[in-house]
Amino acid sequence: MSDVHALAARLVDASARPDRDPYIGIEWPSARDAQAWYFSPELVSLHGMPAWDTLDEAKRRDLAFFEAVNFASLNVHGETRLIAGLEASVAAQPRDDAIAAYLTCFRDEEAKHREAFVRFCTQYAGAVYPDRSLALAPAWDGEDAQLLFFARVLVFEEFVDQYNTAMARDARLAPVARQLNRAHHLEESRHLAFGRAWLAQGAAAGHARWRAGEARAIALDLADFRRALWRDLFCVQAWRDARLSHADLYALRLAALAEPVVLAREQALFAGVERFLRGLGLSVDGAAA
Amino acid sequence: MSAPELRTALLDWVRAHRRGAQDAPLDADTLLLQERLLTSLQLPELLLFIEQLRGQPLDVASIRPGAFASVAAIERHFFPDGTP
Repeated sequence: MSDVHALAARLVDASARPDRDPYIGIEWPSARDAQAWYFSPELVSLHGMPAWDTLDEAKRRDLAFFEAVNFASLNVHGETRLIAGLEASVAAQPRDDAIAAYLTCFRDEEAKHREAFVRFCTQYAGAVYPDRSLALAPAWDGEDAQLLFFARVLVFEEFVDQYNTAMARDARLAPVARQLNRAHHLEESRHLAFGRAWLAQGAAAGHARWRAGEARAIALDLADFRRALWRDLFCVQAWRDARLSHADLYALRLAALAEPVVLAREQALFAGVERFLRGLGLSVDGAAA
Repeated sequence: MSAPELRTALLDWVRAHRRGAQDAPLDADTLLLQERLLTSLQLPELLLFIEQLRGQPLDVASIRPGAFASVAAIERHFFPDGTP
């Protein structure tokens, strides 16, 4: 049995314990509390910029709330794609295999997470923000498509988990926001452990078959994916819903994204996963040209 | 913004965000998705740029990838009057 199989078997056991389901204890008030924070102010996209400094406390809480809705919506859409990919991966595994069993748990947990994020958006904001991504024909197939899928999953989950971890312990947040972040973090930590092991194995096999430039092409795609995730946090719809008074929210967004403080925040957010990918030869500066 | 200014703005945007060989020819009929100058990961940013030019949000659910096939296709789909 490989290390990944052994890990998958252990994770199946851990996932199967209902007493460990952190979603069971979440308390859902019927409506948003306008006096409460739903997103840590320091994590709000515009924090530290003049556009933030000019807002009063109530406006800041509104902005934080709609950015929480955006964050939950990004999770809904990300997990929808993740569930579809996991179903394809389960189908590609041998039956009764520990990895297939864990991927099934993984998929079921993602479906539960998506349901909770949908509930947050619909109950408190009336709807999930629409998915702004467009599906195109995939550029990779076979094992490379699988590898890229799990690499993107890892980048997505590492990104989300940093926000979840910070907000799970932020006492300023409304209990439902704190509990939702905590529950997601607890279950994602298993997915991250599996994702790292699975990806390390897949990257080693990939390097043995790739021709010149192929690892770099995957690394470039991952860099674009990471950048797109970050930019999705600067959400014009959330700013519009929070009634920011800027004449051109699109120009505000581009200006914010170019701010040194924002660039530094982006770099810090992805430093861990970037280091991991570099170790696998899957970062732009680490992959062979 | 006139129609030629719109075309220049769209071509400039593609030049600034394109993937692959940076010196390959680019004009309004270049096949952006087929030639992989743009991937699905650049399209949300392009949508925002188009919204900014139009001055209003788009109904994303109704948009098909063919709308981004080329700069000329973008003009036809999002700016049917020829200007923002």
